Amino acid sequence: MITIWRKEIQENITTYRFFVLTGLLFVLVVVSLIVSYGDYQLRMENYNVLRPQGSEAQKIILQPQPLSIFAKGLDANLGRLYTLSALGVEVHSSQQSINRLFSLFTVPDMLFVIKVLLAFIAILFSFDAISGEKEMGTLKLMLASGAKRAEIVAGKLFGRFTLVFVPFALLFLATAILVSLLPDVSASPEYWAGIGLIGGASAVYVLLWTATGMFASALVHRSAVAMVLGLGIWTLFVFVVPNLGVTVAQSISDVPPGDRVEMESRLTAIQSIYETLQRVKVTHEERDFARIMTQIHEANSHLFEQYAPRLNKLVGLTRGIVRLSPAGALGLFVTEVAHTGLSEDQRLKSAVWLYIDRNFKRLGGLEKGPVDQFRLEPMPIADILGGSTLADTIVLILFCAGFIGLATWRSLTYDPR
Amino acid sequence: MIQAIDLSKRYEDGLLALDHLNLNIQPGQIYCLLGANGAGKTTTINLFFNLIEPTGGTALLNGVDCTKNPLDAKKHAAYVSENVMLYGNFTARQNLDFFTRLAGRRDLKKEDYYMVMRQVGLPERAFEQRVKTFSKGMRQKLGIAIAILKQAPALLLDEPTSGLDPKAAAEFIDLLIALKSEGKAILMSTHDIFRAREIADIVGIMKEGVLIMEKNSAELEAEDLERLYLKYMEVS
Repeated sequence: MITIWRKEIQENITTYRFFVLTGLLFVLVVVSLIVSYGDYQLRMENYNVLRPQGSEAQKIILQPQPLSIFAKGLDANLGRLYTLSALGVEVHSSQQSINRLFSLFTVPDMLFVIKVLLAFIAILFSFDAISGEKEMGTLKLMLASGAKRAEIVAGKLFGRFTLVFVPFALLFLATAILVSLLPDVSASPEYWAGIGLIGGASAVYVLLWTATGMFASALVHRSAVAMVLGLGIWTLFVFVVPNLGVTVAQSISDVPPGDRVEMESRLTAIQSIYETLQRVKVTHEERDFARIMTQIHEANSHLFEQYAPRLNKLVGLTRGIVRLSPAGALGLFVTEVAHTGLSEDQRLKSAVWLYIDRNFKRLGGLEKGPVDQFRLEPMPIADILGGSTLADTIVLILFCAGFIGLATWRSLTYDPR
Repeated sequence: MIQAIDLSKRYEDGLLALDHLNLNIQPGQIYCLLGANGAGKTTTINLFFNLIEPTGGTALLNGVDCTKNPLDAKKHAAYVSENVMLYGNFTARQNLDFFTRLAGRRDLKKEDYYMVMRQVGLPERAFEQRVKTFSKGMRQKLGIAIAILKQAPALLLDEPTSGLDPKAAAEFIDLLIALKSEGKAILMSTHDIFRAREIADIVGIMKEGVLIMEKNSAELEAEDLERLYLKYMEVS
């Protein structure tokens, strides 16, 4: 196996394919770093401007996480300003520091590079592993020389994996070190643990796509056909399934789009009552004011209690469908590790509501005294790994094992003539 | 050394490519298989290397069953194809190194490869040259070098001189004669009746998967092989 592994590297490392694809990877990693760090700096500026000063407890804004440079995920949501009152939460959707161009183009963060480009490169490096060898006429000579088919499969799989993953791993490590040295970034042990987990998930992901390319290669007798087949599988799993998953989950879930509108309209109604009450307050009719404030709070809590489980169900369904693709599972895993995933978003929403519930009297001026400072620490890595990422990890490993199995099965029965 | 006992192959589409072939090639013998395209010559060689499985009979290399113990059997034979295709980006030495390692030999040094390349007649300048610049004759020689380094007692060649110019073909045949004198058992499929007559200890003629004639060199002395071949091709 080592002989074939070494041959695969020696044979490919001097080719145009290696230089062009590795060069492309390098360029995109650099671009991703520049763009993502620039955006992180903007969000940090935004955070520093908007974060509560002193006893200004009516504002909530989360500090951007350094790992969001690698996986932006829901960071635009997580970094929004929440203004609190006894009536509920006002979420500021437009942030001065968020790069507007990101709405037009896909954010080229490291997750994008891994999920899309690295999978693409792995396919382009493996589509000719078996069929190309047959076309050259060397497969027959290899087998006649006494090489075991299983050794050929393993040597080729790990050889091509090495060609894709090692340059990426070096670039990724260099980027992680560089980011840790940049201003505004505190590289804690959690940061390095996150980097390690993203690197590990990337390794499984690249192996998976290398096996997919080899499977396509062993399925047909012409490399050109294998490439088309491999890219077809890539398109299906990287673009179609994850995007379709979100749409399908929304359409089959029982959370109607109007729900949010309804919630907002009721909040508007509540707002008007509140303003009326404010006028009443001036007339010092304290008893009515307290009663209506409590009613508003209860109405809001009721809304939240009804809405939250349905939203959680939608999120769960989306996760389930998106996980039918390795790219989807990787995206969910990496964003969770980077503290920019769905769990972190759900945690923030719950924490904000609990905070309001706890402090609504003081926020509404029914009680004198200082309001607690809002605190929400990022979820520890150990908790993240024990949560939904466990399912993502299992899905990634199963996909990887499945495609290795398919590639091996087809290669073992491949006709070399 | 190279033995086929009632060896048969019928493909999935029903074509009977080989019908009860019997061969027995001893060490130091060259057996030339003649026949038109599709006669079953390549199928025979593929069966010895277990590239396809027989539907009947047995192929043996040094007494080892090629279907039941393919990896063991392959240790006893080396293969040279009609058009030796190697890794174009590798030098001649790198190709030798790779294929001999695959065959289980990891003890060889650069000088050992050079020695064999000299033996097969490759020019010194070609040793560290990329194979993609090689002519077909040079690649065939390199193919023989790979076979020699495997140190297998049997050699199976599938139309190795096809497409070679006369000089290159003559050099190739000289190499085979040298290997025969070292005691190798050689099975060569070919269309070249004249070369076959020149070097073969036994000549077999195949037609539609059947070995229709087999004569040794003594029997061929008095015969015109070309006429014999044409006669067998017309008959039946």
